[in-house]
Amino acid sequence: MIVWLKTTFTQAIILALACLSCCDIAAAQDAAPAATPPANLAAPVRPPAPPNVSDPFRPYRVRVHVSLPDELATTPAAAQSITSELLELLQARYRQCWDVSIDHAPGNGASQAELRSLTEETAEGRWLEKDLDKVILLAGDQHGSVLQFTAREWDAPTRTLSAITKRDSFDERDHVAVAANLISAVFRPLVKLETLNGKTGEFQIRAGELPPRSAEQALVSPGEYLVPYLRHLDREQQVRRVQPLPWSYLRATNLDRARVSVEVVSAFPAPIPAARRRMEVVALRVRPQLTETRMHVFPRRDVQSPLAGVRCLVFDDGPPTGTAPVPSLTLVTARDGTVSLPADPAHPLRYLDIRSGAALLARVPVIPGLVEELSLDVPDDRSRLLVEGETDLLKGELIEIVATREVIMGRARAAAEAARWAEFDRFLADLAKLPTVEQYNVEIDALQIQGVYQAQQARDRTAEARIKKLCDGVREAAAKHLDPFRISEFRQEMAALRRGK
Amino acid sequence: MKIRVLILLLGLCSVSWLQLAHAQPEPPAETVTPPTKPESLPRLQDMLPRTVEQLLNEKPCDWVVLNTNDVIVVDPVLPRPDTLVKLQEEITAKEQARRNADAAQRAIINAEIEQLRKLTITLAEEKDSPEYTVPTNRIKQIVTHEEHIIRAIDLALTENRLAQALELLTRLQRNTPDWPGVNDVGQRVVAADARQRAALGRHEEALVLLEELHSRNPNFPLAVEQLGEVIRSLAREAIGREDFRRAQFFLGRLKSRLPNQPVVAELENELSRLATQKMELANAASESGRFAEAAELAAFATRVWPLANELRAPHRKHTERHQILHVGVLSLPGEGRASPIRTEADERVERLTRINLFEVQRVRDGNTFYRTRVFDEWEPFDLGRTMRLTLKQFRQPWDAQGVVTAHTIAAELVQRLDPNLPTFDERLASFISMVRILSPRELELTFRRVPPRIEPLLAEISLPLPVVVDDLSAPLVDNPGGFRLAEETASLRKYVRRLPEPVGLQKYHVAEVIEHRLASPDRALQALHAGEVSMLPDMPDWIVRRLSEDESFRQRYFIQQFSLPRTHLLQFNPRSVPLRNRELRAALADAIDRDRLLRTIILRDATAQHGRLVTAPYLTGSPGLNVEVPQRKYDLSAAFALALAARKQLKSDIPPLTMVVSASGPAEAAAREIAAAWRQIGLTVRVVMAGDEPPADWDVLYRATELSEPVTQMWPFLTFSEQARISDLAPYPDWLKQQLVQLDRTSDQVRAVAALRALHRQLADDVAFVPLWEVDRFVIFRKNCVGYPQRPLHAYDGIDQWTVEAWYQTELPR
Repeated sequence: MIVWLKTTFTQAIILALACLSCCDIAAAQDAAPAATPPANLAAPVRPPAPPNVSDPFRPYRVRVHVSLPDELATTPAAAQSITSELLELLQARYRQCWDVSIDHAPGNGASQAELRSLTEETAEGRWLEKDLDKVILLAGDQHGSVLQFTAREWDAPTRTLSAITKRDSFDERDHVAVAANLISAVFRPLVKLETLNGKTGEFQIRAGELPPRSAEQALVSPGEYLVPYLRHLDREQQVRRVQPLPWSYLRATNLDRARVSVEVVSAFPAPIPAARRRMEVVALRVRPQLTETRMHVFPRRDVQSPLAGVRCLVFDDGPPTGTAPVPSLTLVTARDGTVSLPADPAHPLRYLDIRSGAALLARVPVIPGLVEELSLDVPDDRSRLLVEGETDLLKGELIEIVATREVIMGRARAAAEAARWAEFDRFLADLAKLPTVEQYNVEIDALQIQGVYQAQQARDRTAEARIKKLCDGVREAAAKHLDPFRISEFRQEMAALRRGK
Repeated sequence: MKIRVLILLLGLCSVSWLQLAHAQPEPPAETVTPPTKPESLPRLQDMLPRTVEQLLNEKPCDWVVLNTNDVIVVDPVLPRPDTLVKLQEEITAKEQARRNADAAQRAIINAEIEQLRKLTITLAEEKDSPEYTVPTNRIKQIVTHEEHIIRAIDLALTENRLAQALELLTRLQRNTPDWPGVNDVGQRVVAADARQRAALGRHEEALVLLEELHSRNPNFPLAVEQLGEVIRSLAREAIGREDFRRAQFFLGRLKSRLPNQPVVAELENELSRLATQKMELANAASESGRFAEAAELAAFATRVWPLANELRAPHRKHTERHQILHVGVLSLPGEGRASPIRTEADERVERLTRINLFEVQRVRDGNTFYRTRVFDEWEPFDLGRTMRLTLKQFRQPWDAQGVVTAHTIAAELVQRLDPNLPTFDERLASFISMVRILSPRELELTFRRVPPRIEPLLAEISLPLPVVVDDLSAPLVDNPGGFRLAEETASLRKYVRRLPEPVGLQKYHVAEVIEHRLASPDRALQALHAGEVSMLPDMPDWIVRRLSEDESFRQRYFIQQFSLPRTHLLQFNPRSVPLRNRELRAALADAIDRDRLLRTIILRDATAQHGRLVTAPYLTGSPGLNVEVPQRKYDLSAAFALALAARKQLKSDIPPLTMVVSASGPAEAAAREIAAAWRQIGLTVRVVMAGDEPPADWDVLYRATELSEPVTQMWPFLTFSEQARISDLAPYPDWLKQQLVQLDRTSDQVRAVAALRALHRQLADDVAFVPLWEVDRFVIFRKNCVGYPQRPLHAYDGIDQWTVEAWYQTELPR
């Protein structure tokens, strides 16, 4: 009915009034059951079970809140013209897939500042009861001759917000198309797990049987990634809690109408639990829109001490294999423990290794550009790293001792052969002054005790084991290279030589 | 000719040739009768003077000139010189003896007299050299070979053949130095030489010759006049080039030799006139408020002619109004092209030109105390989480710093806290979360983490420079002050106060600093004595010690020791692939005989009074020093073995290493010695001095540094950076990175010092660098410079309170 109206000024006013009255009526209808419960009910009536979130024939109920700059929306009619055009474009693109409405009213929460400050809790409080699947906030901001659109999507089933995404429009004639593209970019179609078989599974796509007009707007395409969530339900099948699955992604491998086959990519061996009655596994198809993601790295149980100067190795082609894999990127965390992972359209999913010395602290898959920030807690490796540094130094010391010993022995032998016995005795005395394996082991023991104690205090058994291994390695090297038998053998040889002379 | 003389002589002689030849051992040869054919002997007037070639290349010969003017060319006769006179004197002596002799003796004497009346000659051109005798009464004169030479010299001088004259004179002086007339002819040659050189414009050479001539013969004709002329030319040339010391030098030379020479008075008058003229210009400039120009002109006037008494008072007035400090340095800022870090000269001048929020006041027992020119007070609140800083509202007229507002400092801080700006300071940003301007003179810092001390954190932050740096009339507010570079040449840098002292003060302070680059320490000392400079900040230790023991020197100059010694060390480029090998680094360290180098090269003092070996890059007395870290021993054999071990580990030969020497002075010689020691263990090392062309890459850096606050300075020191940046730590092992990060994060000073000690041990074990030695430094001031601290921290410590009293050198150069 709305599209039939002509957009003259008078008609626009009529239209606005009509919309407002419709909204009021709808709101009154929505609110009516809650405001006036039936008085004759003796026992509470169980509310109807919520509809299937992944119903392939059920369109997404999408509400777009638009905030346009004053330069663009000079009059209500002008604003209405733009929103109408946008609505037409979205409807043309998504056809039955979306049941979309647009709201352009002051204070609708779609300004740029509000977009930035919006939290998932706020969004949930504002829109959860609105019987919507998606709320998309679109704000336009004029910067000189450039109109910058900012958008963010809130998904009701997962109660999550997408990252803030921006697009610039340089031509007045492109404004609506750019806005529509941005809305498409932030839109995250929903899928729900049907079957899971180890690392693969099959998901049903919401509104999968109502495909958009063009392939560009396809809900899911092979090769695209999805972010999984667990929806914990109560007895009434109402969502009690939504749990994100960290460092886990699903990669679409095959598409069959409303079904998509996926491959699970995760930092964990089995991130998706077995099916339960009161739990649903859903996922949102995502497309990285940002240029980078800032990763916060901090030690477990010590968020206040972010890990600075930690090496982050980025691998593009799957998890690294072999003893010395070559990373695509080597990054270092800043003083605040953050590192920026750049997005790469050719490699949306990247693997990130957090390394401390020779130890691997964490290996996680990441899609950079998906969200602005991520946090990663890793084991506190400081005590082990300290031991690693000390063992490195001890190894260096060991080489030095061996090199010096060999030189002294060589010179002593030369002195003995030339029968310079005073010099020979001095060399033997120098040889006796070199640290012995026992002395060396005392240093290693002290180091191990200190390191193990610190690891035990931190209740880090991995670090404890690693420290022991490091110290054992040095001990073995010392036993091999500082073998006292070698010196006693040399002494005997020299004594025999002296007797012979 | 030869044949003709022989025939003539044969005709002359009444005895046969054979008799003559054999008559020699017998009684005296028969007297030669006068020539019956006089025309057969050459006449004197027909004789050509002997040529230079003949004199130099042919056999020497004399001319015996007979009474008839005939000439017999003979071999050099004896006795000589004055042959005839000497023969006559002998005859007279014999005749005296004959009077008292008996008959027998008289007969003998008569025979001897008879013999003496004849001159024995040998014809120059006869092969067998038979002797003849010629009665002396028939000889008019003898022209000797030497006289021929003297005549030839005179002829050569007349004909301007100076080279030939000199050659002949040399021959004459070598063969017969005592010949009468040799000195005279020598003087004539010198005079002619001087004349010729003066004519060619080589006045200095002419002066040397004329002075020699004057010393030999003060009465030599025209020598005094020539001397005056030459001195006049030289002095005028020097005056023309405004090299008045040179003019004074020549004038002094003339005056010491010929005080009454008219040129002396003429030049003195000329110089005095010029000096007075300059002083008048200075007076005019002063009256119109151009004090800098007046001081320059006044100093110039005294340089023109320091002996003019009328200059003294105006010179004092002008030079004490605008005081200029001349400093003699061995290197100027910006000259260390090859150095990857700032050189000593860069650091020296940076402290002159920049005003930092905090600066080190003193270092006692290794603890650093700070002062500030910017803040009145700084007080922590909220358990140190915020710091309120109150800025100075007023400044003394002599203060180098200006009055800045809170906005200026806040803007500077924000510049360093914004990660999008190139001035971003990671460390500062990790501590400061917010800067609030409370009022124009108050600002508040909110800390993300509480730093152990605020002063070292802000010490490296300088007040921003004004946009128009050359505008001396810039308003006081938000002009940071300090000194600015006003003039730059190849050998000079001139810095002037950004905020000049106001008019009407009773006492003024240093307004201008001029650094003169001098080629060597000896030249620097010479410049100090000549009054060209008044301060020498970087003299080597052996010169300082020598001067300290010189009582007369100490009466005229102060020798002040700097508070902080300078630590010399070798640092390795973390990006150098071979030097990532610890064994190679240890080999390099063990190959250096530090004790010997310190005593013989750096200090040249067997007792090493002003230097000591070190184990850390910071002060020996620092609390962060781990005393358990031993001195590394010099052991060439161990170094060789470690180099072999390094080769094995690298699985290849060690590539040539490049060592850049950032330090100047004796450090350069020490670096060469170190490179020589490394060559002994089979390494190839190239030494690049700071002033050389920058190498493509480098492996080792010889640097001298002063780390007064190692807790905060260790990180930038290790990464060769001005700031502590995480990215600079990339080449270092993870454990070292984390140690530095922990040290940087520690908010408790005691724990920070403990962490520094641990780090010191680890770095020493890892041979992360090779600490060499620590050297005490001294600065020399002329006693007209006053007001500097007893133990200055750096060359220009508190320079805004220094005073340079009027002084100029009144001794003429000698």
